[in-house]
Amino acid sequence: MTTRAGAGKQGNAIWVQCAACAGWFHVSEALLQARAAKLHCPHCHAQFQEAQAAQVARPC
Amino acid sequence: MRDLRSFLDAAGGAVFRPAQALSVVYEITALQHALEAQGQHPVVCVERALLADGRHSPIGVVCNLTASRELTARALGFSDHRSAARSFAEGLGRPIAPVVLGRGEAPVQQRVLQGDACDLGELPVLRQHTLDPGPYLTAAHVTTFDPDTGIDNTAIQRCWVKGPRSTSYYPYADSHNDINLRKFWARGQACPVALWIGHHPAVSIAAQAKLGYPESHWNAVGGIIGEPLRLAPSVTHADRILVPADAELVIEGFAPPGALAADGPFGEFTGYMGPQILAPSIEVTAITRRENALYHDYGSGLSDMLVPDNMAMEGKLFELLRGVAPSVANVHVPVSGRRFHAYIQLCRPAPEEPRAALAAALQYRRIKMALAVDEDVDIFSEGEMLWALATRVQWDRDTLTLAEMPCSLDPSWPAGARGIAKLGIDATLPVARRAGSPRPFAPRALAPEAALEGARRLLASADASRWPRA
Repeated sequence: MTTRAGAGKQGNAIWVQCAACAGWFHVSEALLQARAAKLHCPHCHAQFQEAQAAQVARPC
Repeated sequence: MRDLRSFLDAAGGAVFRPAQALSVVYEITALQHALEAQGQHPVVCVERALLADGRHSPIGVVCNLTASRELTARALGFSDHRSAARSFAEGLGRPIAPVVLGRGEAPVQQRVLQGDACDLGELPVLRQHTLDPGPYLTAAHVTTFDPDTGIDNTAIQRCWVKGPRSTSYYPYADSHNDINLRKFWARGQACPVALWIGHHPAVSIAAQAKLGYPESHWNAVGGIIGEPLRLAPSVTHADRILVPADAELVIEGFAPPGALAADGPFGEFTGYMGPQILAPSIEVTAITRRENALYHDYGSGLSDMLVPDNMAMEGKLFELLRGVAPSVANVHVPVSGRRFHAYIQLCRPAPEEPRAALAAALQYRRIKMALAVDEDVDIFSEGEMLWALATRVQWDRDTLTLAEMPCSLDPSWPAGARGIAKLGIDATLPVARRAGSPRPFAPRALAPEAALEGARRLLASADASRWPRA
C-alpha cells in the first residue's frame, strides 16, 4: 500500500498582524516583495511596511 | 435593443423587490447569502438602498442577476440551461460588428460629471464581506485597449473604491488588460480605462468571452446576442475607448504609470478571501450615467458570479472536447465545484474517448477535476454524479492524474509548488462486447415511466409544506 495523504500539508497563506489594532489579515508574497508598497490593514486602515507589522506568520 | 431594464421587465415574477430599505454595508450581500442557502435564485432589486453614511441612494441596486441558470439561459436566448455548452460553442462562431452612436444619443451619457464633480461615494457600492477593506465595484467591466493596434479588451475586475475619484482595479498578471496596462506604462504613459456597469446579462456575459490577444470583445458580444452591440465614444477617451451605449453607468479615467497600492483581501469565486495584493490605481476623470440609473453588483463567490462564467466555460470545453472525443454530448461546470470541476457526458463513446476527453478537460484553465459519465446519468444532478462515482469507478483503474499543472487561484496550491495536481475520473460503463447485446454491467433499478408520471401528478396536488426536508 502507498499513501501520500497529509504529506507536506503546510498551507500557503501568509498572515500579517497589524501593530495598531492587533487584527490579522493575509497578504500575497508579491505584495511583501514590493518593498515600496505599504500594507493596508482592512480592520483599522493603518498603513505600514512589513517591518512595522506586529507579526508576520508564514507557512512552515 | 437589450439593456438591464428590458431584462428586468422580462424577468417579471423572478425579481424580488424588498419593501424595506437595505444598507449597502453587508445587508444586501447578506440577503444574497441567505437566498443561496435556501437554494433560491431570484433577481434582487433593492429600490431603497442606504449608503454607508445612512443616506438614501437615488440609485437602486440590482444583484443576483445571474444566480439562476434557467434565467441566465433565457437571457442568452437558449431554450434550456442544459444546452448552454452547445449553444455557447455555436454562438461564438458568428461574430457581429457593433454600431457606434453619435454624440448625445447614448442613454448612458444622459448625465455627465467630470473632474471634481465626480464622487464615487454617491454610488451605492456594496461592502460585501467582513474582511473586505472597503466598498468594491464587483460588476465593473474594465475596458482598455492595445496601444499598438487600438483593439479593445474587456474583463470584469474588482475595484476597491478608495475615495471620491480614486479606485483600484485588479487585472490578473498577464491577462489582456494587464498586457495593455504594461504597454502604456512601458511608454511612460497613463493607461486609459473605462469601467461600465449594468447591462443586459447577455451583453455582460458575452463581453467576457475568452478570446485571443488582441481581439475585439464587441464583435463577440454581437455573436452571442445575435445583433450589433450599440456603442458610444467615451467622454474622456473619445473613439479610443467606446463604451456600451445602453449600460447604466460608466466610470472613466486613467491608471497613472507605476501607481500600485495594496488591494484586498477580497472574497473570490472560490468562496475564500483572496490575499491582499498589489494592484493598479485609477484616477477618475468622468462619471456618466442614465437619469434613473441602476447599480449592478455581483455577489462575489456566489452563484450570481459563478453561473455566467461557468456556462461560458461549458461552451469552451464542449468545443475543445468534441475535437478529441466526438461522442461528448454535453458538459456541466457545476457551481458546487466553483470553476474547478467539469462533468462530461458521452454518448456511446469509443473505448479510448473518455480518457481523451478527461485529459483535454484538465488542460483547460482552472478545471482541476473532470468526471466522465454516460448518457444515462444526469450531469446536472449532483446526486446522480455521486451515484455514478460510487458505483462505476475503480480508483486504480479509472483515474488519471496530471502533476504540476497551472490553475490560478486554487486555494490549496502548495506553497512553493510549480503547479497543482489534477484528477480525471472515468465513470463510464464498459462497452458491450457485441453490437446489440447489453453492456456487461448491472442494469439500473427503475420504476416504469408511466407509473412515475402518475406519482408526479399525485405529488403536484399534495401539501408538502410540513414534510421533513432531511
